[in-house]
Amino acid sequence: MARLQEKPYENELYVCARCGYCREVCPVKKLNGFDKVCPRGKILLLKHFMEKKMPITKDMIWNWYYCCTCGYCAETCPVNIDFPTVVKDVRVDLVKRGLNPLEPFKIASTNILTESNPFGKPKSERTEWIPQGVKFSKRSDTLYWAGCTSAYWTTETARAVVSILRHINFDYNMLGGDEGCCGMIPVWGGGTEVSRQIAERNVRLIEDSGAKVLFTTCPGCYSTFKEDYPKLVGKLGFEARHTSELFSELIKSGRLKFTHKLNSTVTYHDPCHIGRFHGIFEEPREIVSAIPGVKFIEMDYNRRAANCCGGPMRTAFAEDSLTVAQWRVDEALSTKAEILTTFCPQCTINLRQGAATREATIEVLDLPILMARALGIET
Amino acid sequence: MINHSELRSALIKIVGEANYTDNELDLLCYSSDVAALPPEIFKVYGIKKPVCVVKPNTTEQVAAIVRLADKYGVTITPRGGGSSGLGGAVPVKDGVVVDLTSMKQVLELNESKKIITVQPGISWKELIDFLDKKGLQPGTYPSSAYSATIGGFIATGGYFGVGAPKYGSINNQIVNLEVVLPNGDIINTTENGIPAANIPMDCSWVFTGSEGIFGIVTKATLRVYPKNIGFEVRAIAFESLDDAYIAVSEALKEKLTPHTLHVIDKNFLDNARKVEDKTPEAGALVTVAFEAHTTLEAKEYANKMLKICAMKGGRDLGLDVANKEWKERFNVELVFKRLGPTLLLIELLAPIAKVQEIIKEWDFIAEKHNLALNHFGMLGSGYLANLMPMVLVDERNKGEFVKTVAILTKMLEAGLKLGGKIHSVGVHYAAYAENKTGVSIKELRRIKSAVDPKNLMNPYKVVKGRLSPRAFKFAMGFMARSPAWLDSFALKVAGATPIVKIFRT
Repeated sequence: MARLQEKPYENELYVCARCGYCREVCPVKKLNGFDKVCPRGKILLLKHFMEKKMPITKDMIWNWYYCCTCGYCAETCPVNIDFPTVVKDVRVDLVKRGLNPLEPFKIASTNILTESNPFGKPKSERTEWIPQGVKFSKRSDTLYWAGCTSAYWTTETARAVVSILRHINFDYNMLGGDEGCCGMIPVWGGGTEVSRQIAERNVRLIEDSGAKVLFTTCPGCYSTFKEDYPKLVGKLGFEARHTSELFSELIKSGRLKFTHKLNSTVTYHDPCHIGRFHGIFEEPREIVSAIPGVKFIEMDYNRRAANCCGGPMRTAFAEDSLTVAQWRVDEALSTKAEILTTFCPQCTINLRQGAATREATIEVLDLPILMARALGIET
Repeated sequence: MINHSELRSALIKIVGEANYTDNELDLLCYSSDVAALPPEIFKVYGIKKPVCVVKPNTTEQVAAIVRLADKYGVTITPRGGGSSGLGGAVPVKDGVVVDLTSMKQVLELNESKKIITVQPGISWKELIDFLDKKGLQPGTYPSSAYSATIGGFIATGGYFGVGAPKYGSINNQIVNLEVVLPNGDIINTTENGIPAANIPMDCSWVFTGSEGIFGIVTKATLRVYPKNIGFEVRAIAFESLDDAYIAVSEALKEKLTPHTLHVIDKNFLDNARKVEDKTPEAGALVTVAFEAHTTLEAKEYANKMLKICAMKGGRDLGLDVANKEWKERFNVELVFKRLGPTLLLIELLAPIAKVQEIIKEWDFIAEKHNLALNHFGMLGSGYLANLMPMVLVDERNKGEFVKTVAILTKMLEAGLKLGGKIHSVGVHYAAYAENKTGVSIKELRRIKSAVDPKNLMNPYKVVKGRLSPRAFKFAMGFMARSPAWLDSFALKVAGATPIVKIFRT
């Protein structure tokens, strides 16, 4: 049995009781309709293939990549299987056995190695989002990490963050053109070697900057730094934090005070990678509640039971990713809120597209932008 | 032989491309349920991958599928959440699995009459959430409510679960069932009988606990209840399991009717504590819930219960523990499965007066075989308890695994001899079908041959298994006694050779 035990996920395949609690909450099960895609199905099949010593087919590889990695299943699992970790470990094992991940994962990895972002955008354009006149210290305990999505797509989020920090004269540093990709896609794509290479580079740069705290707006970056980096390169010389934690502390300490009434109804979507993964549920809500004039409404499914926006599926299953976003937008619409906010550039993009294709008038805003408005800052 | 491509296009015409699959991976998922059994045993039972799976959305689609199956002579296995463990929803012969989980609409709620009509594939959790918003609740529901469907609970008898002592079995809650019979006719049990079997109207009893052998339930109208304000849960610790069961019997004699009542033993608690450190320490634990119109009334029942329990040394563990145990009600059977990581169990319905005797016999057998039992019991309706002794094993240790299955089967046999009953037969309990609770097996056989003469609707379940009961019992007895390596070997031989065919009926 020792041979099988080498795989960290192998025991979990036997722990699964096949009760099917996961299938009821699994977004990809809802998309595909059949059991094979939900955790129960994925586990049952892999166990079957391993026991029968059957070669892993293309279909099987596809199946293990067809997952939102939202972790909702883990919340309902009565035997406490941490399914996102199982997914990660299985993908690593598949790659180790020479079974290539899906093409978009490979392309993203190549892009990261050449252009330091998964989209293949020119490296030279990375700092274009930084507003004119923004000053940051060359050396500070605190480092802001914008992340690829905000550096290239939702640049307004990153701009809002630095504008807010400038507004209160907060001391921080940025890596500028040296900032790269956290490596989330290769980490989740099973590419341990590429991931380690990326992690080593980033950790060196961050530690060299003298930062003790790294804060990110992207929950994907946050979770990668916080959870995956220590596994890849050992203990870090800095602490990874999410911007929502920083902002909520600044509000509590009285340093950040909202001055402009917003007079609107707001609902909040929990990003899986800060929410379920790391228990950051209350900080963003505290921020929203501190904004004067805001009426906050919860969606039926929130916090640990929040449905995914489908964001992580964008890498390889864009169409399905959009469908999942539409479901979440529908939930937001049923609250009758005027603004759907979240604290994740990826969720923002996906939900915004979901809202657009639903022809909904609900405004989808990353929370820093809402905050900037409440501070009277133009972004 | 089935003409697959013809069947395929005909089925797709009925349900649409997206609701049909014959993908190898999909099919594999439909050839198992929650039961952990060695793959060889599946072979011995004759469990097969289905030819294809369809997911209908409407009654008419189900009827069309059934008629088509009749035309092509292929078998049908209806399936809900797949959360049962006796193989009732797993195909035994090549055929079509009808996955009903897409049929999950609430069709009508009559709030004044307090009845609801739903499609069979809605999960109990979904129904509970829906009713909760209206200030209503279902009666009895399974502890696997997150994945178990309404149709599945009806098909497996719905004898026990959360709320069973108070609301009785699912039969008490059924107003009407719409059923597609094996010939494709659609009937409503309140309006129609089953002329072929000479059964008059009001025939929902035929279908509860029938495991889908008489047809497919496509709509269920159920009684629902106002959510009571008074709801009190208590966790009571005892020195021993015996004391706990004596106290429970006393309480029942005093006409106390709990909403739900669980009894677990020391082994169970000790194992649970390894996973969840807040689990209390005790010789046995009774978790009991009372429901009433007012909090005061519910408290009164709870206090009366505590008083009765105190006479057998029962200690109230306080509300924190009680609420924690109550929250665990959906996970209770699985809480420490991880330690196995395989969990094997049997289920036996026993009159409360016989429980101690049965448990004593089980402990005796287990001790003889050096097996550690974790006792779990759940009060059902009508002074019946559902007993589930559980054993942790590692299925990768094949010999031990098979041997434990055999020992547990012998324990089931012993329990049946002492007056216990089984609630479902599926495939695994086929040899004990005569001991099924509810309608007699003789009557079930008569109905089966009348409504399904071609034996296409979930064949080889309940009324007639594929293995001869005598051969099955002999094999289990042999494996329970013989050394583990021999069991492993015997199973390999049985699974790999046609020898098993001579044991088939």
